[in-house]
Amino acid sequence: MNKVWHDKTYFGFWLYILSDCLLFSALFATYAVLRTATAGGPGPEELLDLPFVFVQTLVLLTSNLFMGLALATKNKRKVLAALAAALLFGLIFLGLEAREFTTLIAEGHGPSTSAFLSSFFGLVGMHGLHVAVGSLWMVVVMAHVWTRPSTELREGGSVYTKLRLLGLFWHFLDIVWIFIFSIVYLLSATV
Amino acid sequence: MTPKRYITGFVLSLILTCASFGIVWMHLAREHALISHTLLASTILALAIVQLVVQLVYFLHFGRESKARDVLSFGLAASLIAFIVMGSLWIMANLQHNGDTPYRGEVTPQTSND
Repeated sequence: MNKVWHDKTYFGFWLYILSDCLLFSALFATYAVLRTATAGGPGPEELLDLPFVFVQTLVLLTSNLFMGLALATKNKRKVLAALAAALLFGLIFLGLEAREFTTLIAEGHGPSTSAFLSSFFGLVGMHGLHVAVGSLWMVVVMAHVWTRPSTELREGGSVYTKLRLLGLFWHFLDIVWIFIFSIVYLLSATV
Repeated sequence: MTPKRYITGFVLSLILTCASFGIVWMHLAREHALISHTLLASTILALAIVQLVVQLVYFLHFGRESKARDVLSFGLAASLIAFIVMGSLWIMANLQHNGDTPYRGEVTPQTSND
């Protein structure tokens, strides 16, 4: 019974992830179309800082590794430690992104400056929003792991399913980020 | 799933990420003369797709053991994404092209009723 429930829940969440991919694909298409619409202002090759994004990428990837390690163990303490590390790196990622955004806006390159910047803030900001919500969710799941008996971590247990859904979401965000750093940053830097 | 699997996925992703950034940095250091723009763009996109597959397999455990419904829904989403992205780029490039071309038809004088 538990197994069936887990499989159904997981599949439902998988469908949500796929529909979220559609949302991102629309934002990617918007960015690709508007990339050159800079309204006479500086374009992506001048505004975007590649070394900064490289660090951001490594931070998010490390966070994903810890999320994986949290899924790979049934030990309550290890799960909590790995989740805490994943959360920490997720928050560092958000901090870096906030810094990038505030620097751009302070220099007069806010989202309302040009169509290019609107689409840039829309796409990257939407990913950041997902990471922020995911971080909040991670805190909730950590509270579940903390308070529920460790037997719930076994396959089919309620904490087991919650952890796996969170892991799916977190890994999905890293996959979206692969395309953000490749298309928004790397491709635009070489025009 | 063992921790080893996640570590493998992490290391592979790391290598692919470094390759992407490295190639762009080398290209910029040689003042855009390393390889042609088309080749560079296709390399970056190819590396991104390889990394997508790596993360699907090593992080999401997408593969032979996946259920048919998971694979089918993934295929549907992938084709919808292709339609949205390619379709938008295609149509918008066409509009841009038409917008840049001077109007060749006959200009009919505007009639006003006031």
